[in-house]
Amino acid sequence: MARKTKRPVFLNLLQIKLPAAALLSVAHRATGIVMFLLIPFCIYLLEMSVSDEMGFHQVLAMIDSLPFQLLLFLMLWILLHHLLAGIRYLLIDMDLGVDRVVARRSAWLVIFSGFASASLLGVLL
Amino acid sequence: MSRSISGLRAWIFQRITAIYLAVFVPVALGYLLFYPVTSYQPWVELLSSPWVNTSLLLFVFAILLHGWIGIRDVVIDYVQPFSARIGLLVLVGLGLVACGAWAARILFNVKGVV
Repeated sequence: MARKTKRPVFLNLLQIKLPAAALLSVAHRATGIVMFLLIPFCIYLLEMSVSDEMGFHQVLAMIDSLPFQLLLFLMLWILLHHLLAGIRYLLIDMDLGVDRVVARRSAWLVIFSGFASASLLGVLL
Repeated sequence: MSRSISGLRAWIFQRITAIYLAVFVPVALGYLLFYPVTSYQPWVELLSSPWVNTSLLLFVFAILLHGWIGIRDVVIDYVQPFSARIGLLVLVGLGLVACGAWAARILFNVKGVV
């Protein structure tokens, strides 16, 4: 019993330093959950956009507003991050980049390129 | 939950749908980026054209299946009490099926001017 209480239990989440690959894994889940929760909203927008002329322009106007643009950028980032991380997992499934050094490097690559491609597309749009 | 969608089979479906989504989403976004739709009629025409309509239906199916397996994994990992787990999974499943029916109805009903 005494030994058990002396075990170093360290669960301060703010002080645990996760490797990039673990961070990516958590982010992959988090982004997936966010997108899952957004599905009904996306269908709602689709329904409105095909309902009639007015609905279509309402959706366009909504998308063009500044708060929505910021939200759109966030969603784009979430999507691209999830997509790139997903491609990395598919490659790992095929035994590509399983090695720790490579896996860590590719995790950083996904994290940065996800943000970079979202920014680039955000500027283009 | 049913045995047919656990373990290896779920893993495989997760990947098959992932590949479809990874191809469809960039193509769709790229198309809208290069050919922006700014008025109602062309939008409806686009969505009702056979290729777009069918691939969108497949997209809806793929994203619901992909989402189901993903959320199911997360729930199984973090929600331990049996009743809470089953309750949550039923809620998620019903929600996804409802979303699928809703999206399918919209896509079936879109009709361009012939």
